[in-house]
Amino acid sequence: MRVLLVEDYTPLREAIVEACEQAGYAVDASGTGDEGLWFARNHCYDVIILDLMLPKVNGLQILMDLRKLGRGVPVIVASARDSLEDRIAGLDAGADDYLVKPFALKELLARIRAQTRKTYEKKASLVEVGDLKVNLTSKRVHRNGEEISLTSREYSLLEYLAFRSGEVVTRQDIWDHVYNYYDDASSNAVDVYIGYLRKKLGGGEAAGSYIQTRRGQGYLLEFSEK
Amino acid sequence: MRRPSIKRRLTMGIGILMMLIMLVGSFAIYDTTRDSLYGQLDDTLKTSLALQATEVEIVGNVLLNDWLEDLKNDPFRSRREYVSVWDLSTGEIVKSPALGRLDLPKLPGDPANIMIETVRLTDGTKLRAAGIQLLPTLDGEGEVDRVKLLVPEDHPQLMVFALETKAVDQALNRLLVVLAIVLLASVLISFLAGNFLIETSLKPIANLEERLEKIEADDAHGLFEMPKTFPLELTGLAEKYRDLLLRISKVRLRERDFSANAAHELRTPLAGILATLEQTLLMDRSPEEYRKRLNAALGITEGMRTLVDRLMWLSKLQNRTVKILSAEVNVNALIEERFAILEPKIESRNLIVQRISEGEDLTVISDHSLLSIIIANLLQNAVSHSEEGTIIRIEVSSKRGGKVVISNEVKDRKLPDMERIFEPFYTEDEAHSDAGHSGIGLALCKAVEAVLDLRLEVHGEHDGLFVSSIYFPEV
Repeated sequence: MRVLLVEDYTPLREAIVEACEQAGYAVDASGTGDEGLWFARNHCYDVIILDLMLPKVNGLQILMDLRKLGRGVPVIVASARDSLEDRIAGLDAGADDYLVKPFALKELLARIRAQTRKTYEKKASLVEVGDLKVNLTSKRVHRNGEEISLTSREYSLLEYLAFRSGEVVTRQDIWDHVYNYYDDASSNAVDVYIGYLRKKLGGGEAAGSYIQTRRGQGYLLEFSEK
Repeated sequence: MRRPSIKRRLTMGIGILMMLIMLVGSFAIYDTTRDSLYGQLDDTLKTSLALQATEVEIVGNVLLNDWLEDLKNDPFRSRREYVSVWDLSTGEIVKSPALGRLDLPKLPGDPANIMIETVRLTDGTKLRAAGIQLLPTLDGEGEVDRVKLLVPEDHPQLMVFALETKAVDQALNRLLVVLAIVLLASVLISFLAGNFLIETSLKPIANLEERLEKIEADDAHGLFEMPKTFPLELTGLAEKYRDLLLRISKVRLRERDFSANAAHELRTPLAGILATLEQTLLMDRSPEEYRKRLNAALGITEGMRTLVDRLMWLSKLQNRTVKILSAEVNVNALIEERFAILEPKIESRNLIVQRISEGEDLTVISDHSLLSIIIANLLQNAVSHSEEGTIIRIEVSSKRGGKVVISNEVKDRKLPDMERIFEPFYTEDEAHSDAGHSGIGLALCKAVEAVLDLRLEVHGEHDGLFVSSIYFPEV
C-alpha cells in the first residue's frame, strides 16, 4: 500500500513516515502544500494523510482540488483544528476521515487500514486465499497454520495482491502501490520480488499455485490446486 | 423592577394630553355658553326693568304701580316675572303675584349701573335679579289745577325685577352632559387610536427583534439588511446596532482564530512528542538511538515552553499585570546584544547588516526586559524574513526623543498584510509551527507598546521593503 503524507511539522512527519514504513507502507512525504498537491495529482496512493494548516497551499484547497479532478483516493485529515466547524469543513471538502492532533500512531495506522479495506472492499482484516491467510492487522502470513516470515517489501507486495485477490494485477499497478517516489528499483524489481515471494510461500510447484503469471498482463493471486 | 414602556408612555401621554385639551375646550365652551345665556337673560332683565320702571307713576297725589295691573292682566307674565318695588320714603312694598309671601333682596342699582345678581328665594327658587333706584314719573298734567301733585323726589322707589334661571340652567346642564360624553368618547378614541398608531409604529422594532434572533452568534454574514420601509427614526439606531454586531463578530472571529491557532501551535508539537516517543518505545533500540530520540522530544518540548512563555507574556501584557521597572536603557547596546544572538543565522543567510547612528548612543528611560522583547522580535523578523543575501538596515537616532528604524527586503518581495500583522498568530502562511515562527512576536511587540511610553509602527514600501520603527517620546 502506498501512502502520501502532507505534514509541515518535521518531527511529526518523520515519526509518521517511520511508523508507516514499519507497517509496510510505501510512503511519500511532503512538508508543503504545493509539493503535496503535486504528489497527489501525479501519483497513485491508497491513502493520503493531510494536515490542514500547510505552507503555500492549505490542506482544504488540496482536498477540494483533488475532488474536483475526480480523484477518489481516501483522505485522512490529521489536524490540530478540533472545532466542530473545522471537522465539518474538512469532511464536506471531501475528507474520508478526520483525526485531531495529538493522536496515537496506532490509531492513525488503524484508520489507514480501515480506509484501504474500504477501498478494496475487504470488510474483514483477514484475507484467505486457499490455505494462505494474510492478517492485515498483525501483518502476519500463515500457510497451513505455519507462519511465513516475509520482509517488509515482500509483505507489502503480498498484501497488495491479497487485497486484489482474484484480479489480474499489472506490474505498473504493483509499482504504483508498493513503491514510493524515491524507490530507485530496476525495471525487473517487481519480478524479482514476486520470485522471492513464491519461494517463501512454499517454493516450487506449490507456490506457483498462489501467484500465477498471466503472460503480457501481470500477476494473479488465486488458489488453484495442481 | 418594571421596565418603562414606550407604548405605555405614549398611550398614556396621548390620552392625558387629549383629556386636558378636551377639558379646557369643554370648559371654554361651557363658560362661553353660560355667559351668553346669562347675558341674554340679563339683557331681558335690563329691558324689562327699564320698561317696568316707567310704570311707577304719580297721578295727582296718588302713587300708582301700573306694572302690577299689567302683570295681573297677563297670567303668563304674572307667573314668570318676580317684581318688588319699595317706596323708600314710606317703606311700603309692592310685590308681583309670583312672589306671594316671598321677598326679593334689595338691589340698589342706578339707571346708569343696574345691579344684577343671582339670588335664591327662601323656597329654593333660583332667580336672576336686577335692581335700580328710581323716581316715579309724573302723569295727568291736565289735572294740575284740580289736584295737588305729589313731588317725585319725595318718593324715591327701589325696583327689583327677577326671572327664573331654570331654563338657562337646564340648557347648561344638558350642555354639560353632552360635553362630558364628548370628552370621555374623545379620550377613549384617542387612547385606542394612539395605541393603534404606536403599535404600528413600533412594529419595525419587533421585526428587528425577529431579525436579530435569526442571526447566528458566529455568523458575520448573517447581519440583517435594512428594509426600505424601515422608519427613519430607527435607522440610525439599527445601523449603529448592526455596526456593533459586525465589530463583535470580528472580535469573536479573531478570538476563535486565536484559540484555533493556539490549539494548533500546541497540539502539533504535542503530536510530535507523542509520535516520537511512541516510535521510540515501539522496539528495543541502542542507548545512542534512545538518546537521539529523547533529545528530539526534548527539543520539541523546549519549543512548546517558549511558545507558552510568549503566550503568558501576551496575556499578562494585555491584562496589564506586568510590573514595569523603568531604568536607563542604552538602545544601541541592546540592539548589539540581540544581534550577537542572531549572528549565526545572519551568516548562514548571507545577510549584510548596515548600522547607521545619528548623534550619540540612544539612551531612554524604559523597562529593559520589555524593550528587549520589541527589539529582539523586530530584529529576528528582519533576519528570518529577509531575502537571502540582502541588506538589513538599522538606523538609530537620539534626536527628538530618539527612534530606531529597521528595514529589510522581504522574501519574493511579498509584503505581509499590514492590517493584520499585529494579530496574534498572523503569518503569511497558515502553517508556522515548523518554521520556528508562531506569529506571536509582533502581537507581543504591540502589547508591549501599549504599556511602555513609545510608539511602534510598521509599513511596507513598493519594492518589498518592510520597515518597522520605534519612536521614543521627547523627555
